[in-house]
Formats: sequence, structure tokens, C-alpha cells
Amino acid sequence: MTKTLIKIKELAGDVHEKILKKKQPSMTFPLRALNNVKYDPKRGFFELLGKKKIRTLSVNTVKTFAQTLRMMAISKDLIATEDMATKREVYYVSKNWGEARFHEQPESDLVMDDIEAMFMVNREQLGFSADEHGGDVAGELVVIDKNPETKKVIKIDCTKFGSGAYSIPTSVEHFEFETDAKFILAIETKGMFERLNRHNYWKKAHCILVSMGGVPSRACRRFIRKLADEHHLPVYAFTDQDPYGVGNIYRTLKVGSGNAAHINQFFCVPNAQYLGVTIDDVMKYKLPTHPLKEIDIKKIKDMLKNDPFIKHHKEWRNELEQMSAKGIRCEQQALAQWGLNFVIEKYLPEKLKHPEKFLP
Amino acid sequence: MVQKKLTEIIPPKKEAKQEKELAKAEKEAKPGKEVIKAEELAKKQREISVAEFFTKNRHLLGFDNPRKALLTTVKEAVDNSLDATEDMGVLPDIIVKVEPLEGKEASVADRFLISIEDNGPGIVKSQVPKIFAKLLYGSKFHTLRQQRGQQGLGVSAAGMYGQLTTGKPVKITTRIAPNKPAMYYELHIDTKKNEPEVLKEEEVGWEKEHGTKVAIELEAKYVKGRQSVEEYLKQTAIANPHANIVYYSPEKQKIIFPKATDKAPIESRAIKPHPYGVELGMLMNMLKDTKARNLQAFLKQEFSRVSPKIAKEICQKAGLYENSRPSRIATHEVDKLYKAINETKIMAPPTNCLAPIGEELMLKGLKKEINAEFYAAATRPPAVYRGNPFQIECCTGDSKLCLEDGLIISIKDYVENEMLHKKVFSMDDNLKILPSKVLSVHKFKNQHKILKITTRTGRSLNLTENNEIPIIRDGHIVWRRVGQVLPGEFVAVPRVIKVYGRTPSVLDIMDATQIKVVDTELVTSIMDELKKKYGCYKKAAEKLEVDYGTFKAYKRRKHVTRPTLSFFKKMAEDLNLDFEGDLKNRISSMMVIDTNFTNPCPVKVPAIDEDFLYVLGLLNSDGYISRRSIVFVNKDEHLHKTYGEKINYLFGLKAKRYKEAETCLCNKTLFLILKQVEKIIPELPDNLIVAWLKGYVDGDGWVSLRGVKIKDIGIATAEKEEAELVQSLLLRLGIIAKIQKSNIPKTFGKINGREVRTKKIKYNIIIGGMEHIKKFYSLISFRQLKRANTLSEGIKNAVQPSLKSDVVPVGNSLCRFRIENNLFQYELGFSDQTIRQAEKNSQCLTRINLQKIVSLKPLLGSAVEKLRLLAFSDILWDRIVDIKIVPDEEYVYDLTVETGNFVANNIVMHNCSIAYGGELPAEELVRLVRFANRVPLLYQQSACATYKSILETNWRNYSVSQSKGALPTAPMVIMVHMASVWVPFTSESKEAIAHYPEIIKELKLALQECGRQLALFLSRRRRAEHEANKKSYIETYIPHIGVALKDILSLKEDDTKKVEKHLKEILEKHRGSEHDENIN
Repeated sequence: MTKTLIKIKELAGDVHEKILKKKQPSMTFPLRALNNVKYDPKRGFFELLGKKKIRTLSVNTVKTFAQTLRMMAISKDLIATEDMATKREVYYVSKNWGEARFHEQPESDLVMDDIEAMFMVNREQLGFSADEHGGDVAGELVVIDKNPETKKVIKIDCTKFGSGAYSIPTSVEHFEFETDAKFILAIETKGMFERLNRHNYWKKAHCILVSMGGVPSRACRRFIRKLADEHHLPVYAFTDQDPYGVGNIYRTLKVGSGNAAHINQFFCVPNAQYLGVTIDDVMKYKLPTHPLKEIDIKKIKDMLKNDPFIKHHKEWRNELEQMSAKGIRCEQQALAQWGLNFVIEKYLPEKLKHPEKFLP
Repeated sequence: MVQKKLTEIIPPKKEAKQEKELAKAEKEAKPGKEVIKAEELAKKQREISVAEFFTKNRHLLGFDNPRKALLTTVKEAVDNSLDATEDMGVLPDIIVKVEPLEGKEASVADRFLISIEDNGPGIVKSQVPKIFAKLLYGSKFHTLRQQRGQQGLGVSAAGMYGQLTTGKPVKITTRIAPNKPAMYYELHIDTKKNEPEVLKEEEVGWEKEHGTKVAIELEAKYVKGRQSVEEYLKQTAIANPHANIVYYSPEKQKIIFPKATDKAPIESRAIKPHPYGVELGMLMNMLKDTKARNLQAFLKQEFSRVSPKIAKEICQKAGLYENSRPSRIATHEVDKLYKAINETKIMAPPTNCLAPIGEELMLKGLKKEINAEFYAAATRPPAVYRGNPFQIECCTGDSKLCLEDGLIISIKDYVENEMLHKKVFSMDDNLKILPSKVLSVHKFKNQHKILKITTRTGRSLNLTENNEIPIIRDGHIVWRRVGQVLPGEFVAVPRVIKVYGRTPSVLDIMDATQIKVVDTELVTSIMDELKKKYGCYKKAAEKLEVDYGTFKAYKRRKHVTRPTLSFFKKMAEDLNLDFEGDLKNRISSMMVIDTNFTNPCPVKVPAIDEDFLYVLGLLNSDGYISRRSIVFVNKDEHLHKTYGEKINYLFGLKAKRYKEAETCLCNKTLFLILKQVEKIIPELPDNLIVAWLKGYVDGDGWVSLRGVKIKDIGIATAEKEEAELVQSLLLRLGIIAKIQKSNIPKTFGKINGREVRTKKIKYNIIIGGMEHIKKFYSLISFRQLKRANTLSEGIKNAVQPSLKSDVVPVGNSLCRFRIENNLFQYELGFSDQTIRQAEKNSQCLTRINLQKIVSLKPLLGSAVEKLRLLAFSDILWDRIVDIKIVPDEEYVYDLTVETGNFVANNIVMHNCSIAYGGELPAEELVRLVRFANRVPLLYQQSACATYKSILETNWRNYSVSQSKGALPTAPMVIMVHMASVWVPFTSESKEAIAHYPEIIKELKLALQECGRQLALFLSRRRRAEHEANKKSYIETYIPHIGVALKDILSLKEDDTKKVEKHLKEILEKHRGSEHDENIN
């Protein structure tokens, strides 16, 4: 945390110096977007390329400049007092800033993201937290946490939540784990997670279930990564068979996002593999499908063209091309056609017999 | 339309009269008389010449009223000039002069003399009368090409109008080549016959190499504002950014419309007519006149864009044979052919017959004249790019200026230290070199090529390629761009620079903290005064903030302990003694501060007089001055003696003689003194400079003879800087010297036991030409007997003046002068061959000879004045030997001087000229600027097709308000240019474009394109404005930055305030771009 503090002070000092010299101070942010990332399968995650944005102080940029500096000041206070503020809270704090306040939250989010990128840290390190849903965890896992006030060690057994589940908090760095599980199953929909949890699938298969709830949040990804790394567990992703499931959810889990390009290294799971649902599954199990919408086809095209991860893996390209050619998409819950527990009894066991056939 | 005879128009009037007469006659007539009446009538019918017609119908040509007449005349002549220069392929240089006559002011005068001068190809003798004094005579009517003039009416009509209103003829001066004489004509137009009358025709002198000048005197009225000459020229400048226009207004103002680009516009080509454009009658005529053998060939050859295939198609559609003879085709068949042509699909006409202005140039031209926030241009098809409108003319930083007090300083130092209080030498209108006031200094980042010009006298100057230097051609001084000057031309160089100089005392020029006052008695007396004042040394020491012991030390024998000059001054001040007037003169001994030696030798304070400078000259040329030793090296025994004596007398030092060739001494004080004086040599008065030069030539000078006659005097030096200094100093005395480089083999030598290797390159300063040698002899000469004798003998033996070093290239001016005074070539006092060669510029006259000529006897004419000016000027015409490109410099410098030029590196160069633009007035309705074929249209705006197109475009779509049926209301200028091989005007006066629907359609499309760009700009601007508050950004956000920084860095209140203050300044300077910049 203090490293960040030093960085903030350094930048502010730099700006101050420039002002004293009557020169225009400027701030440089790396451009965090898909068109500025590169993907190296050996490293396994999206890394920033060189494009940057420069914001130089001038009459037109003075408002954003002021807001950025003020937010940095907030961050400094948060770090110094070891407190956290959500993005929404920061937005409200800004209402104190008179003319420089944010009118809408997206504005404040943007500035926060810029600061994050500039210092190449995670927003938690700046004292900001997101209102993101963390993701649910159930399964053979004991999470070793600390009580925030007393600093005493707490052990949380994820098997003991009954029909509920353990919810991943924003900050997972200090966790430690104990587990005998064989793998982690990252699930897209809550519905599927519920089903698997209710029937204690994790007991049968000796695994840990994690519900991503859509695109996994950073905390979720970090959690899975930490867990997988520490205990050398394979991670299998189980999403809907549609462009969004593959391109957004799975891809973000695996290699990170364009937005977090500056910190992706630890916030993704490069070793994850795609369990389902694949086109082959659809064919094999004759699952009911829906036709792809215009927007889906566009997304596939876009992915094939712009996403470095997809571009790199031939298997994925094939998969997507097939998807687009057949024009169908299939939800993971469609497995219910063959019986509510078909997924538990047949689908997953069969697939897990041949993990080597999973898509990268 | 006007080719037909105009008899038809007259009849209506006559008819009425005839009827009356008929009626009258009928009353009295008897039958049979009608026949006679018709015959009688027939007698009265006459052909009416074109000129007569236009006399009575001036409004058709644009001469309705006196105001318009003025403008139309200028317009026609300028159009012709632009067309002619473009045809020739040069960039137009046009001078427009409007002078009120009869001694009246511009606003009340009713007669004006309008003259327009261009640098075009000129007009051949035989054509001049017809072009200017015959209506409907021209070259452009029959060609299908974009050009400004169309009918051959313009300037002749103007001439005719002038003749009509004032009776004065049209005056034309024209020249087609530099080797042909310029011709002057006065023309009259015989309106009855439409034929020219030449009233005067003669050869004249003219400084232009080619071009035409038209002068017309006419009745007119001068107005300013919208429909004035100035406005017209302004718009012409916008539409023709490659043209340079100078306008002398009736109010005696000189207004320059400089060109914004060096690129000539694309030439338009003449084309064959397009099939769609011919009418039936025209087609019939073409068929009759064509040389083509058959119909298919006719179609292919006579029209543009018709290929054999298309020709065949046309024939088939018309039902005619391709092989039929064109002349044999019957009328009804021509009709079929005509219809077939219009039904066949043929490609649009080629556009190489057009020379549109192009968006880049249009924007350049517009930006030049109108200062606005946003510019957009659209051509169909669109492509937008922007240019950079200013031109800078400068020289490189190391060029040396000569200031009025003699100081020679590099222009870089002058500009960076903004030494505007010091005047700079420059050339005035009388060709004298005088100090002149500097109005401003400039330093620019260089964007142009840098050229180095080298002259015969070894002067060189680095200038940007578009800088101008004064060149003499035929006795006229013209300013030409360096890039356009050729080696062999003569450039103006000062031959003498008069500086008054001042003689400082040694104590003034030394650093007062580095030298000590040694005079024991003087110091002691001062100290005693102090003691008296304060009672004891201790108190005095306290007051003066020194140690007590210092005073005691002053009394010691060793000189090291003496006070420094600055402290001495302090003491004197404290005692209220007069340092400048009294004490200074009493200081006779001084010493440099030095902690190494125990007892350095004091030096007698010398007067800076001729002996001093002589010694310095000797040392500078033939010795060296260093901290360790000061050595004079020379083979002449006598010189050594003199040197030794002078050193002793001046400084009280003894120099030691080593071996044969060296006299040396070691004294740090002397070293300092000599070094300081060296620096100020150029500021000294002439007599001291002479003394220095005397010493210098005694050291390293020589005389060279050609046989027994003197050839030249030379001085050698190894340093280029020193050579240039000597040259400049000689210039002070009016002696011209040339610098020559020569290579010498490396030699080795020993001085003071150390090995010394002489440099490979030696610089020789050569003084040649009898006049200068004699001057040298009288002012400087040599002390060495042998050399002095050689010099005087050589001069005696030289009878004729030798060398053409000081020449004046008068050329043709001499010829004119002779003619004005009715003198033959041999009557000028020189051989006629000399004069002939001088006039032809093959061998120039020397200045002395020219002076003799102009002093001959009472002389007349204007040429004499010019020659006299040249003969007695302060200018030397130096031949340029080399112009080459040198590596770029980062920065270049320039000055703006009152006289328009200044002397740099002893060459005269032009000063900075600045381009400008006016403010866009916040008018109510938009201002419409119309051009057709690059000619501005100023009248009949509402009748013009462009006006209609603007009305019909819906400007509300582009966020510009517009009431129905009117021009939009905005602070906006719309410039429309239509380029075409034939612009359909509404009338002969070419003021408005006719409302052809195709034209209006295209105009609207182009206007809409511009409108879209405007809309984008406005919306962005609105958004930006909307985001900012009413309060300025500066007040609103700066405090927040301050607070944030204070928070993060824990700054103090003062610091925060400082931050806010600085931020204000920074933001005031930098508006910045709207969005973050992206870099890779």
C-alpha cells in the first residue's frame, strides 16, 4: 500500500515542480483497450502494448486534471487511514468539490480507472473498491481469513453453508486455503451453480464450485487464481454456448480484460480450460438451441478480428466459426431437457473423463 | 452575340421617325414618291462600328458610373496581367497605382491616373496598338480554356473610356526580353473605324526585364469599402495566392498583398468542345469548316471525349454513314445528328482545361486575408488539407553586425540580448551607409534551406533562401531573392563605415576587482585621509568592512598587498573624493591580482594611444599573447628595437631578446591589459585603428609588384576571424580589401623551446586597386624602409589605374544618360569601346571613371541623378562568386530596421517583412465573396447564381440561422469560386453568373459539404462552451488543483498560493487541445 502512496506523492510532486517552473504539467496513462494489448500464450494473459494517452494541463483539460488530482488526494487519505471507499462513495465525495464535482458516476469511474492505469495498480491498492458481486464459492475448501478488527484468524469451511454459499469479498490477498479438492469448476449462471450445490456435486466430484455470475469480477478471478496456484488445481469453465459466454466470460477469466490490462497478470487464470458447452456437445447431446442474433454474429466477427486471445488459438477460431456457420447458441441450462440432473449424472462426469479434450 | 452588325438596333428609333416623315410626306406626296424615300433612307443607313456602339452603351462594359469605371479599369488590366504572367509561367508580380490628378485629394478628385505594371511576357511591337486600342481583338475568344478575359473587350474599353472622358491617350510601356529595348507607346482609338492610332512610339529605359505597364487617365470617383479597388485586390489576392500584388492607393498608402505560395497554379489547357455543348447552328458550321474526311473522323477530332466507337454509335443512331463527307450532310440530317449526339452517352469533359484554385490554396488565400476561427473548403470531389501561410526571411546567427559605436557583434547576440538601443549600419535611399534604428528583433526556428553567398572580396553570408539582397542591374538596384540570384551578379556591399569611436582609459576597461593600484604614495595618502576621518585605522577598517590588518599591509614594500581598484574606488567614495576626474589620472602603476608570485612586477598604466595600438598590432600579427609569455617574433632587427623601446616606454617593462627572432617578456598584468584592449579595437577612433593597422602590416604585411609596377599589398594571418576583423577595420578607413584563402604546407618551428606547428590554411588580406593602394600608402604605409620604398616606387611606376575591383555596373542607364544629354560614346572622355562595353555590361566602368563622367559638364535628365548617386555612394558592388547550400541551422535571426535593410557580414540584406490578416467583422448577414475563373465579382450580387444557391441551401441544418429567402445570418464569409472554360455571365460587364440549373446544383452540393463541416465545428464548440461555466475555467478549477496538491504533498498556504498563481499563467498561455492526445 505504501508503494502506491509513494507513487501518488511522486506524481503530485512532479506536477507541482512543473507548475513552479511555469511549464505545463502532464499525466500519461496507458491506453487500456483491446486494441492496445498483446497476448503471448506462454505468459498467458493480456499485456499492455505501448499506446498511451497524454493529458497536458491546458484550459480545455483543466477540469479533468483537477478532478484527477483531487481523487488522488482522496486515495492518499484512504491509504493512510487504511480505509476503503466504493466507487459510488467516491462519486458522492466529489460532490464537495464545487464546480469540479462529477455529474454522473461514469465520469468518476473513468477518472478512477485512469489513475489506476497511470500507477499500474489495482484499485484496491488505491483504497477504492468496486460494487461488484464477488462470486459464490461452495465446495471442499477452507478459507483462512482474518477478522478485520481483531486481526484474529478465522477459518471458513465452504462445505458448511448448506444451500447457500461463501461470497468472495473484494480483497482476497490475505487469504490462505486448505483443500483436498481435485479441480475448480467455474460456472457462469447462478442457476447452474445452485443446482450443483444443492445436490452436493462438489462432494461427488471432489471439487470446488465457483459461480462467476456473468463476467467474473477481479476479486473472483484473483480468488480462483490464488487457489489454483497454491494448490495446483485445474480450473474448468462451464458457460453458455454463445459468443458472450466464450468471448467475455471465459476469455476474461482466462486472460484478463482490456480494461484491466495493466494489472492482468495476477487477475486471470491462464491455466483455465473450457469445459462446455461446446458446439460438439450440442451436436452430441442434441441440445435445444436458439438462433444467433444479429448482435451475436457481429460479436463473433469482432472477436475473430480483434481479440488477441481468440486470434491466437486455432481451436477457438474453429469453434467460433462453427458457431457462426451453424448460427446457433445454447445455454448451459438447456441440459435440463434430458433431465434436471442430467448435467450432474451424465454430462459432467463424461466430460471430466477426458479433460485433455477441453478447449484451451 | 456581338459579332453581328448592329444595324438592327438602330431601326426601331428610325422607324418612328420614318413614320412621322412618311406621314408628313404622305400629306404632301404624290404617288410614286415612296420609292425615292426608301432610297433616301437607304443612304442614311450606315454601318456602326463596334467602338461607336460601345461609346453609347458603356453600361454593357461596366462603365456606368465613375465609381464603377475606376474599378472596372483596374479589374480589366489586372486580369490581363494575371493571365499573361500565368501563360508565361512566372509568378505574377503586379503593381497597381491609382493617383488622383489635378492636385486634389482622393475623396474629391474626379480624375485619376491608373497604372498597372506586371512582369509578364510583354507585347510585341506590332500587336500593341491593336490590343489596347481596338475593341474585340484578342487571343482568348476562340480558345476553350479557363481564363479571366473572355472577349477581348476589357482593357481597350477602358482605354476608350479614358479617352472619352479626358481626351488623354493610353500609355503603354512594354518589353519582351532583357536584350530588347523597352518600348513606350501612346495610343488613341478611332471610334468610327475601330482602329488604333499610334501617337507616340519610342524606345525607353526600363528596369524590368520583361513585362507590361498600362497607364490610363480617366474620369472616376474613388470609394472605399465594399466595392473599392482595395477590396477587389484583396479578393484577387485570396483567389490567386501565387500572385504578389502591390497597391499604391490614392491616399498615398502602399499596401502589399504578398503571395502565400510559390507554387504556380496548374496551367489550364485549351480543349476541343464537348459534344453536349454545341448547338445545331454551331454543328453546321463545324461540319462545313472541318478538315476531316469522313463523319466518324470529324466527330472524333473536333470534339473532346469522343472515341471512334462512340463516333460510330452516334452515326448509327443518326442513321448516317460513317464514311459520308461532313460537308455534304444535308440540313435535316444535321438535325438528326444533333439529336443523336445528345442521346448518346459521352463522358464528362476533361478538367485539365480548368485550373481550379484548389482547396489548400483557397484556404491559404482566405486565411491570409480574413482572420477567423474556422475555415473549411470543399471542392467537388472533396479533399481537405491545411497550409502554413507565413514566409520568413532571415540569416543565420553567426552573421556579424556592425553597430554604431563600432562594436562588431553577431546577430545572435544582438537579438538574444535585445540590444535595440544600439543602431545598426544600413544602406539608406541615397546609397549611403549610416547607422539606423532597429525597430524589432526576431528569432525563428528555421524552416527553409540556407544558402551561403560568397563574394569576390571574400565576404560571405548565410541566408535563408527567400531572403533578398540588393543586386544591381543596368544601373538599377533591385532586391532579389538569394535563391534566384546567380553567381556573377553584383551585390551591394559597404565600402566605408564611418564610426566615431571613443578612447577609454585602461582602468575603465579592466575588471576593477582583478587589478591593484600600486602607487605607494597615492595609496598611503588615501589611507591617511581615512585615518584622519575615522581617527584610527581600526574604525576605518570596520566601516569599510575589511580586516584591520589590510591598511597596515598597504604600507609594506611588497606590492602584493596593495588595494584592488574596486576597493580603492570604495575608499575614495567614502572620503567623497573625485575618482573619475582626479584620482584616476594619478594612478600610474597597476598590477594584476595573483597569489602565485611573491612579488609580481607592476606595470605602468599606459594611455591607450597610437604607440600602444602599434605594439598591439605587432603582437597580433607577428607574435602571440599568452598568460605565460608575450612574444614578438620577427626577422627584422629594427622592429625588435622599436618594439622593445615602446614596451619600455609604455609599460615600464623590459623585454628580453632571445636568439635573433624573438623578444619576449612575462607579465600577467600586461597580458590582461592587452587582451582587454584587443576586444574593443573596433570601437576605437580612426587614428588608433590606423595605428593598430600600422603595427599589423609591419608584422605580416608585404608588397607585391608586377615588374616595377605595384600589384597589390597583402597581409597574412592564420585566423579567419582576424582576417575578417582586418577587413572590417580597413573598411572603416574606406579601403577595400579582399580575403583569399591559401593552403600552405605544414611547417614546424620552435618558439620558446616548444614545438609549434603552423596551420594548414592561411588567409591573405589583399588590397588592390590604385585608389585603395594609394589610400593605404597615405594612411598606413610601412615602417620598414625596404617595404616602404618598394611601395612608393611601385606606386610611382604604375601609371594607369589597375584592376577592376571597384566597379559600378551601370549598363543601360549609361546609355539612357547619354541619350538624354545627346552625347555620343566617344564624347564621354573615354574610348568608345569602353563605353560600349560598359553599356552592354561586358566590362564594367570603374567608379573613378564614372565619377569623371558625371562631373563632365552641366548635364540634364533624370538618369544623371541616378548615376551620380551610384558614383558617389558608399556602396561597393561586389561580384558574387559562389552560392551554395549549407547545412541547416536550428534558429535564424532577423531585424526590422527603419531603412528596410541592414549590413550583415558587410553585405547589405533585406529585413523582415511580416504578413498580416484583418479581423472578421461580426456582421449581420454573411459576407459573400464570389469568384469566376479567379476574378472577383463585386457587383450585382443578388443577380448571381452563387447568391441563389446560397439562398436555396438550408443553412438551418448546419446550425446557422436563416430567414426565408435571405442570406443566413452569422459571422461568416462564404467564398465561392467557379472555374470553367466559359463562364456564363448575365451581362457583358461580367458581374454575375447566369442561373444555369446545373451550375446551381453543383454550387449547392459544394455549399452543403462546407455546411456539414461547419455544423461539426459548431456543435463541438457548443458542447465545449456548454460544459464550461459562465465563469472562466481559470477561476473555477485552479483552486481545486491547489487543494489537491496541498493535500497530497502537505504544502503550506504560501506554496498553494504560488501554485495557483503559476497555474493561472500557464493556462492563460495554453488553450490546448480538446481531447487527450494519443501517441504510440
